[in-house]
Amino acid sequence: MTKHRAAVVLALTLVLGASTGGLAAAQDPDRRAGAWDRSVKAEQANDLPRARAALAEAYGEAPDSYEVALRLAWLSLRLKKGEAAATLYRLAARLDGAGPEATQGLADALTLTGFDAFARGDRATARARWLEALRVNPSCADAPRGLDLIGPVPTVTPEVWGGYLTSSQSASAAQAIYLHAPAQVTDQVGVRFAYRHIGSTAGSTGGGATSTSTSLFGQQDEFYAGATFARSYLGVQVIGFALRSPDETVPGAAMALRVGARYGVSLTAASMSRSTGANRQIMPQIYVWPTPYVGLTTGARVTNDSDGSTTSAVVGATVIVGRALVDLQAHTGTERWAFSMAGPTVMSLFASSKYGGTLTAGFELSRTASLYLQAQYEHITQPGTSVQDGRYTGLSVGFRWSPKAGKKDGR
Amino acid sequence: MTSLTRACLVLALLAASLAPASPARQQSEPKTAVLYRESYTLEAKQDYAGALAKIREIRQAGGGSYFATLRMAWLSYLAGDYKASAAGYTEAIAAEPRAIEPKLGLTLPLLAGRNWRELERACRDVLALDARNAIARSRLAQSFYWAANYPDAASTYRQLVADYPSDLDHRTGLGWALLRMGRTAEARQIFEGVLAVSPDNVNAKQGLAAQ
Repeated sequence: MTKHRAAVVLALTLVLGASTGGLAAAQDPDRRAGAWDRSVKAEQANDLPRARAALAEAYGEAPDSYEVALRLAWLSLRLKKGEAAATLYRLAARLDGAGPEATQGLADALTLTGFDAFARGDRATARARWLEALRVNPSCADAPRGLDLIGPVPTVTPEVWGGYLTSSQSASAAQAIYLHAPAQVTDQVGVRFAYRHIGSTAGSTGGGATSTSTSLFGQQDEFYAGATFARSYLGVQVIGFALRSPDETVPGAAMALRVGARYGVSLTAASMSRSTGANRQIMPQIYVWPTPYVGLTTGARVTNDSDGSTTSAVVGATVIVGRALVDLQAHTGTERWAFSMAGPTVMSLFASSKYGGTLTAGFELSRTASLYLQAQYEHITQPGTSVQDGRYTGLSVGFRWSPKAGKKDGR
Repeated sequence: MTSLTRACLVLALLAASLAPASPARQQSEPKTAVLYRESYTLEAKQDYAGALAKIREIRQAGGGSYFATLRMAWLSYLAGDYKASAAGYTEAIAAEPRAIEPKLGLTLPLLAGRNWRELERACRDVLALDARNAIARSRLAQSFYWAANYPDAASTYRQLVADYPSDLDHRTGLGWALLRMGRTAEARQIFEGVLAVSPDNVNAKQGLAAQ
């Protein structure tokens, strides 16, 4: 709609321009007098909205001056208004006096709109924008970075994790191996499969995998299979899973809905059928990405099972610095068998967690390989028993292989 | 005829040709024509007040015409009385509303009086009749520039440069407008291009020095 409106304004401008012999329009001479200098002064004072407004009010949003179109585009770009910047750079490139900066700027604006689309989960638009940026300016540096980020489609980015889990409560320990294979079928549709094996190493009675009162860890195999759909401002994930131990098999399902782009809301709901009864969870959250490199989220998890109903507060933060990523997720308030869509995993301890958190650090080793380190801590308790509160810790190392685009995505 | 007689005759003829016009000739020429001639003579001597006085006489004598009005406006401009000049051209425009000439004339006192807003309007009036008029476009560009409307100045000069590639004033005008917008590399290129063919061009030299 915005693009259509801009096209109409542009068409009207061209018609009016033609009727005045291509000369600058006569309206608002008072506003135009000194408008350029006012804009420059406002920009020097770092007041970008005023810098842009000074020119737009004087010359309109579709100016007939190359310099004004270029400057409005540049200020729009600095204000992170990628679509407006791209429209203005396209206009500038058609005006008398157009130079190479118009096409270079257009590539930058397209790259920005690509990252905006990517941030709101619109991979198809993101890919189209980045490819167009490269067509406009083959030496554009950031568009290939975006294309590398989303990779080609279809593609699989397998992960393998190894973990060491300990519990002070029962002096038990376990090893875990986790395999995850998310596959992007198209820019909007993906599927994912995961498998986790937990094997007790010491202190285990060998009975229930994570369900004995004396040991938190036993043998357990977990299977996950899901599908994702993401389009602009909307993302949906569904997952079915089964947690199989010698004592029981716990089937379950979960669904997550995201509405928003740089900021928005999400809702995760999970249900699993344990031998002791059903465990149902619902977790509404709000999130914001104030910059492309910082993400914040907060919300609550409501758990309802045979032990009652509990609510915990959840917070999260993600920071991306260069080729590194740090993510922290924490909660305070009782949780049981907390489901995480990110993994996907289930914290299938035979205990409640009063508070705790997970810290993950990721490092891009190369264009195709990333290394992850993860530390978990949970303060656990077993209400109704004589067992004292204790701690659960987990240390994991993960490796992700991302087959990069190369020439496959049309570059 | 003796040689003496012939010589006297030649001298008489010569004297007659050099003598002032006879009263009969002066009487046959209208007074306004005489006044116009005198006005031109005084203008050539840069006696603009005197030249103006002659035109006023013509008008007082009932010779008020579009031509006399336009000439008064022109002589007022030359005399430095821009207000009177603008009034004169405005009167001429009223007399010949479809003519380009008085409208273009009006731009002279407005330009000299640095009345940029009125100059822009006057230039647009000319361009409404003659959209490609180079003088009006050039003065319009000047009005934009001096009103600190550099983008429109650059656009107008750019069109003029495209239409009149050898006109160096248009080029330096474009250079200055670009310079004011911080586009120093382009401006430098233009000034250097002008100096390459006009090594003593003061405007281009000043433009380079201002960077």
